[in-house]
Amino acid sequence: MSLVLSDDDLLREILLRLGLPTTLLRAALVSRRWLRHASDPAFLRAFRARHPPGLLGAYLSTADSAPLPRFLPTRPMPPEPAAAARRAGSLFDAAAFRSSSAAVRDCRGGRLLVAAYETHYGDTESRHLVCSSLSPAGGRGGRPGTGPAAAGYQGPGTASSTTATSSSPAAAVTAGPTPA
Amino acid sequence: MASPAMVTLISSDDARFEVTEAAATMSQTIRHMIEDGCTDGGIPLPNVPARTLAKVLEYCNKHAAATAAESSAAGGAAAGSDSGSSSSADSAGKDDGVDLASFDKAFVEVDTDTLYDLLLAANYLDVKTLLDLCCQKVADMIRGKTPEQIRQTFGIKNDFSPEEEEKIRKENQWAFE
Repeated sequence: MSLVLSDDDLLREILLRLGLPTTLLRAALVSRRWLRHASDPAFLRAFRARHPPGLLGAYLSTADSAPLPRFLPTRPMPPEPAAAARRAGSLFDAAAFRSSSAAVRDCRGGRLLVAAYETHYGDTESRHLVCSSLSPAGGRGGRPGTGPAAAGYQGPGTASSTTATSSSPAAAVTAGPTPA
Repeated sequence: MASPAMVTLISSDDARFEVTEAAATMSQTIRHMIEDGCTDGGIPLPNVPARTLAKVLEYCNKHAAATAAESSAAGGAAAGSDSGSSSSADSAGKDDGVDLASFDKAFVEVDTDTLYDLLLAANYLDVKTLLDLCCQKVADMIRGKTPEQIRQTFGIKNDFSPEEEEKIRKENQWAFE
């Protein structure tokens, strides 16, 4: 192997210039050594500082249409993050949301705080979920919320109807590098 | 105007290169040697062969000349009192920028071995902008490739087990679609 890529400092300098998180993830899968560098926290901080995460799109809750937020991807969407945007767009298709309405309460580091409302025999129950919009199929058993802070709060809800905000963006989703 | 100060660089295979101090000191390594007064009889660069050093110096000469032109243009603009002269200096500076950018782009259009040699030399000689340029070029070669294509391009052995590789792919599916 060449001297260039076997030099840790030079390999990092090169990985740092890959630009897109998708490219970095593919490079991370080249070998254990590349993965180690590409997932090092200090490296990732430098990568984010150099390539600030881009906006994938926004979740919209509208007053009198569907009970689940709609995802509007940023346009034009470069081809590389397009798959990530599709994934974010299908978040509310997950089984856990099938019989509920939901609203996005907050968004941080690619994770969403979602309030889900379900009505059983006239009682509305609310749950709060932390969802990673990019994690595979919303996680185990189709249940959204695979992050460490998943299912932070659950209890009887007081909301009597679905949230009905105006059509302002409820949350913005960004794609940041989180290899392995 | 006095003729510019010159220094002599000696490659690993004993070829001698006469360059302006402005070009040579784009290398921090050489700058430190000059500052330390180690220039008598030429500066030996035992890690850089003549073929690579000639290429690096082509880069340094071009960039040092562009920097000199820029600063004299800026000086002229500052000295000029009417707005006409400063705007012409601005446009001259811009042309230089375009020129340099296309020079840089063409400069790294080389085979992989030459690119590696340049990168190692830029690293050893500590020519920051050239190191940036070469690293970016290698990064561009990685872009748009699958992990397997990257391994093939750079001759890297896959040391993941199939299970490990599958796990990472699954956890980050969005990047592999």
